[in-house]
Amino acid sequence: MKKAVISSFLVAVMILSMSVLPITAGTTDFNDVFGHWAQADIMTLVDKGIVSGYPDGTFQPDKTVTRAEFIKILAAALQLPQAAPAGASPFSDVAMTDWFFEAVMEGVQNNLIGGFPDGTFLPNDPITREQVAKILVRAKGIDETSTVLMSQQQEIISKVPDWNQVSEWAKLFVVNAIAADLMKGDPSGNFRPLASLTRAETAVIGVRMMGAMPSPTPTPTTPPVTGGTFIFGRGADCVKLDPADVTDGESARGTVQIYDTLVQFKGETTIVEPALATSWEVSTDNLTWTFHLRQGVKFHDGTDFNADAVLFNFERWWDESNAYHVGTFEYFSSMFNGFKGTEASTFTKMEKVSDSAVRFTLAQPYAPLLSTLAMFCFAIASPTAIKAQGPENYGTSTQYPGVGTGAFKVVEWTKDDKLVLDRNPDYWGYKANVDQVILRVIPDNAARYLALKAGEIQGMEGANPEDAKAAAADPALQVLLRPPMNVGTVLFKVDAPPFDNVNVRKALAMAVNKQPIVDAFYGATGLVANQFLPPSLWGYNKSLQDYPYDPTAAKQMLADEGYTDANPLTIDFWYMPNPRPYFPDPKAIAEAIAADFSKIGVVVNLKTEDWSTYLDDRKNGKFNLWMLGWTGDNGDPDNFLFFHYGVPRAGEGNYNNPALIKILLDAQKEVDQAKRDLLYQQAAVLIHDDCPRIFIGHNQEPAPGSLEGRAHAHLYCPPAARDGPRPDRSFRHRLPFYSHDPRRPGCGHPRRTGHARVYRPHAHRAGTGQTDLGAVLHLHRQHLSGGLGTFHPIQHSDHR
Amino acid sequence: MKFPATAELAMAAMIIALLIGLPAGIISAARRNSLFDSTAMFVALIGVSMPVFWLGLMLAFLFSVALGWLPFSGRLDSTLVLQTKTGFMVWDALMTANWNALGNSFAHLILPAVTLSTIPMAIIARMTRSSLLEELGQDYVRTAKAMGFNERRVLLGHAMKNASLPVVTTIGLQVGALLSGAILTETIFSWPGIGRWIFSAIQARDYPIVQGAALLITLVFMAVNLLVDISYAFLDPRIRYH
Repeated sequence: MKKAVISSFLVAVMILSMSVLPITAGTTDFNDVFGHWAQADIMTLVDKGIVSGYPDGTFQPDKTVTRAEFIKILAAALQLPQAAPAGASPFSDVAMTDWFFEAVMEGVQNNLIGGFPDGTFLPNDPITREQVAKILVRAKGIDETSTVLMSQQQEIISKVPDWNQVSEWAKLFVVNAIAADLMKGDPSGNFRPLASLTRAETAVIGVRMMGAMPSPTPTPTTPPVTGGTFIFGRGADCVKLDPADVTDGESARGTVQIYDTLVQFKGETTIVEPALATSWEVSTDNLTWTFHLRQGVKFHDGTDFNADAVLFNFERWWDESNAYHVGTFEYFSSMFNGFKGTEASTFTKMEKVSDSAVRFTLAQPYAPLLSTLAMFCFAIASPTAIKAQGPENYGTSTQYPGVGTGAFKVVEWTKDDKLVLDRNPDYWGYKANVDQVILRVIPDNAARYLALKAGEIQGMEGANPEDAKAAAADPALQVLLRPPMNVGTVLFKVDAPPFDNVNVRKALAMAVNKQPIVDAFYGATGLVANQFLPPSLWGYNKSLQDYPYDPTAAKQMLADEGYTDANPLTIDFWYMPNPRPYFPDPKAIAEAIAADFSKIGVVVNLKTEDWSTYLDDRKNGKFNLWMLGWTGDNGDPDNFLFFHYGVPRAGEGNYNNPALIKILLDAQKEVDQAKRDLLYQQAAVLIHDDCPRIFIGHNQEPAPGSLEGRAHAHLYCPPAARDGPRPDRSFRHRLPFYSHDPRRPGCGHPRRTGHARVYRPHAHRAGTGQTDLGAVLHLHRQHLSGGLGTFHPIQHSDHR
Repeated sequence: MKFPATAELAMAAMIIALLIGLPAGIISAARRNSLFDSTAMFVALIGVSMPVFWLGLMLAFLFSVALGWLPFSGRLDSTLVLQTKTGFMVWDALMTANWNALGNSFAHLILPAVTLSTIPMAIIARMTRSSLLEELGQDYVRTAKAMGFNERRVLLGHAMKNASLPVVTTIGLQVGALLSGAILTETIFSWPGIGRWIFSAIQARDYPIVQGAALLITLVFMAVNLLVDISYAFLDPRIRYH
């Protein structure tokens, strides 16, 4: 009996090998697989004999897979139990002699796949992604009806713009497949439920389902090391360990180790999950938010975390007359529209419900509330410590350390040298693997990289582009990339000639050839921008068409407006004096853009001045055309769009569009994320049509770390902060503007090399299904408990 | 805390500069136009024109990354603990008999001190050579030699004593170079001293700190040069201060 089954299986394999997936004798090197993004997975399956190539030495990884082929490969990968013998084929179009008959029967009997109502199986039709979702969910033994909570479902659905294309029967499977990380959408979130799969994608799925996912790094799955010290090199020191009163990224990098927020960003996503608050409710009018607090949490000084502590912190931030409100509390006032007593303030009331619950009442609905509360700056500090140390001293030295509830506590802080943090053994969440984390200041980027190479530190941020490249090629190092959460733009002063004329603006937008600029200066993982939001954010308008690159038409448009070769448009083009994450090499980028402008007859004078003056002068009308960008704070589109266009700002070009302002205000009050998504997509269209700025690119930043370090630590990388204050504040000068940051890395990301599949440089190429942005994220998540920690898309640098 | 860090580095650099620069200058003068002379002066030329940040990175690459002999960032391994009283790490380690920290802080001192010392070293060597040569051409040297004093005594006892005045002046002036060179050196070697403090203050446009630090450096420079002036009296008995 068994023999018969085996032999029939062998026959099936033989037929299979002749018909669809012929085995090529003795060779496993396919010339079209080498260097392919799925090379490792394909070769794994080839080695196992599950798939093979074609006689001509090719594998044809990008060829579409049929339903029969897919179930055949998956049955082998899953090692499904042999199907019970069937007397006849249940499907009209599947014969018992078909090479895939066994596999189909195994799939059917294990409830992975079924036929169509008309009794057919359509074995030669391409398999669709929603069908794959069902197979994977079933194969994983997930009960699709009860696994994902309704609220989570809504959240997932809201992030899939093409949700309405998903067939009714497949909806639960798709939700579960996304929730369980089995499948992902493309970079803009589209699931493309009816798209087919390629052989390469099938190979990736097959390997994943084998439970033998190949290690993404040269050393196969190093188990997390416990104990020891993890030393992280960075460019500058914390200003203060009081998160409420700092705005710089380096301070945040320290404070997130020490403190927790009420809610936090999950992994490296911008999804909000419980932290110090375990759950929350919002009233139907979206004005009253009740947060239920985690019980039994203690601050590092041994005092209790409770509703009083939360209220103490919130009142300290909100109320300028509070005795402990010493400082600027800049983030609070800018995120929540000022302090207590001001008309615009988001809050109207903060009260204690019980020892374990607090309630906030808002003046009007504020949709980004949760995302905002997850920002590092709204962390809860120990009231006892603030009172004992005095508000002016709090968090300024070893003597006056910051005291929170976080995974690490302050041991020693030598300014400009090192911040030593010890593991908090009583931490309520995931306890750190390492005993100690040291954040060391090494100001020079090159020296910091050398220190990493010499083993003096185990991780770093801010590598020079060349060093990041070298790190990728170094088998001892691993580079993590931060998903793009920024945008580099060229701004017009839209209320003064010559750029008050929309046609002139459009002509210039059409003159810029963005792709070569992004390729040259943002590296392999950079993305061309055509709107404000990066594609990793919801609210991104996928269907928006950028202005075409068309110098001839652009020149004609200028001529129509009276700018001819005899009377050329002459402009000063101001570029930033130093690199920022969104413009890795501003001078070179500006030169490229200026060259494009001059091709349509514009006379461009490139100019720059020092950074602080630059930021001031853009507001006082000195510039007509200049470069600047933005880096997100909390992953909410509001944080990108409202700041710039919700109120006309001179520093942002003074663009004033009442229709746009209304949309942005509505989106801020709307709580339904799906509706907000649409509003932001509309906003993108309005902005596009008026062309108040030219969007150039979105950048990802690399952060190298040693493999030793990766296996070593669970270091919390701060999810949100920037190294400069908000751009429109007068006290900017007192803060160390990017003092640590002479050269941010960004361009020249390491290309794919043998081992460095970590990067997945193809990751953002649409249409590769499994290997989209999510592949990168997934990888990092794997290292969450054993790596450099999460590398959150929300950047740790200022907006500017 | 920041000033002792810079002072320790500057002193170490000055000691290296003197230990190598002075003998090199003297030997070059004594064996004028020899192979040693031309080599030493060529090296001195390179030393004075070498960019500090480049040399620092190259030394760090060679001795820390490639060979792994010396640490190069910071003053002490982050994991070591040392009670600091004076802020001079080596001194503190010695006083508290913390041998581990002593060796470690000393090792941390080597690369930045060598980097910082190259320019003063080169200048001291050249200055010593030229002023010694000048003295060696004087009549009294010829007389002393004619009277049969041995070569060494003439060179070190007579000529060098007279030649030391401009050398001492140069050394005093080099303190300024050490303090300004410290800005680059401290940045490369993550040395938490006054140079880096100024560097970050400039970037942050923190004028009070820049002014304060500039004042402090000026005062140190003036004090050192005052000492140099006073030392003239001991070196040259003809000089008297009233």
